[in-house]
Amino acid sequence: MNLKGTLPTLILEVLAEESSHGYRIAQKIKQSSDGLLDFKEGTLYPALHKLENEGSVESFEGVESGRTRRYYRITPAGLKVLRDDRAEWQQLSRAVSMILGEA
Amino acid sequence: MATLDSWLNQAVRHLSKESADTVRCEIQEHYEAARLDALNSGIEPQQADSVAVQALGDPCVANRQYRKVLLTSSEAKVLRQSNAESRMICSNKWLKWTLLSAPGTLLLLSVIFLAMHQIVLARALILFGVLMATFFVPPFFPIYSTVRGRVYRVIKWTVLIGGVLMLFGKDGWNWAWLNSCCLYPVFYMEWKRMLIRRKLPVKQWPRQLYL
Repeated sequence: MNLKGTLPTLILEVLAEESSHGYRIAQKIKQSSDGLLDFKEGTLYPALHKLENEGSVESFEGVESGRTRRYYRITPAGLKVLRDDRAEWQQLSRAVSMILGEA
Repeated sequence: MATLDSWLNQAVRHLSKESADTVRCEIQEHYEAARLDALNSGIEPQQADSVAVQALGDPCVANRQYRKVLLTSSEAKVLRQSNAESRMICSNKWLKWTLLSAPGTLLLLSVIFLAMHQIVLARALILFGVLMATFFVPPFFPIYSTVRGRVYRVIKWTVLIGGVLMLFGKDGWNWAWLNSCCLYPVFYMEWKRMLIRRKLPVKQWPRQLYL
């Protein structure tokens, strides 16, 4: 399952918990959704670049197992975007549930 | 590795060298982490390679998305050329003062021709003076913020469209082919600059992106 347009919100949600690198972000999204959200990992980085350009996340270099990796962390602006996205998603999901519930 | 290389070659098509290097670096990191995970879960090395590449998905889709957020080779070229032009204008005193004084001189000449009742000539000189002032003088103005940049761009387009209308009047549509040909380089540069503005964070904007 892949809901178009939700990837940036999912990335921000993962990064709101802790700073992380691309591969770990992808794994966390898959694990948290019990493998239901199976997006292609090659599309994760364009989304990360977009969030970085918008100022929602910032990148820095970190070391893991002796290797330098690019880590991402959420910014205050990103936290605000995440709050707005959450509220919007809850409204949308409530509206869809109401319609499907009536069907 | 051949599979990852071909994936990367497709994913970085038409990207600038810097963007392509960034993509290669991050995808290589990702691939190695995925491959290591696959090996740790007991998968054969050869199969681990293909599992890691398959997880990356379609390289053409990734390429389309990368081109929306990273600079392409043509955009990087526009940026480089604009930087070189700005440097050339600002570093050459004679050129700088010629460009600054030309609009004023043209406006003065138009007043003289107006006084001599040469209306058509005066109108053409005013038009060229205003166009020159709009395009060549702003690099010397303090336009360093997105708001000032936006205001300037609105003025620039208004002057440009107004100038074309003033020059051709009611025959504007008949001369549309000529205008399109002449103004194509301007439109192309503006279109590329608009795309670059969307891709680069404001703090990384060079001076000419505000204009």
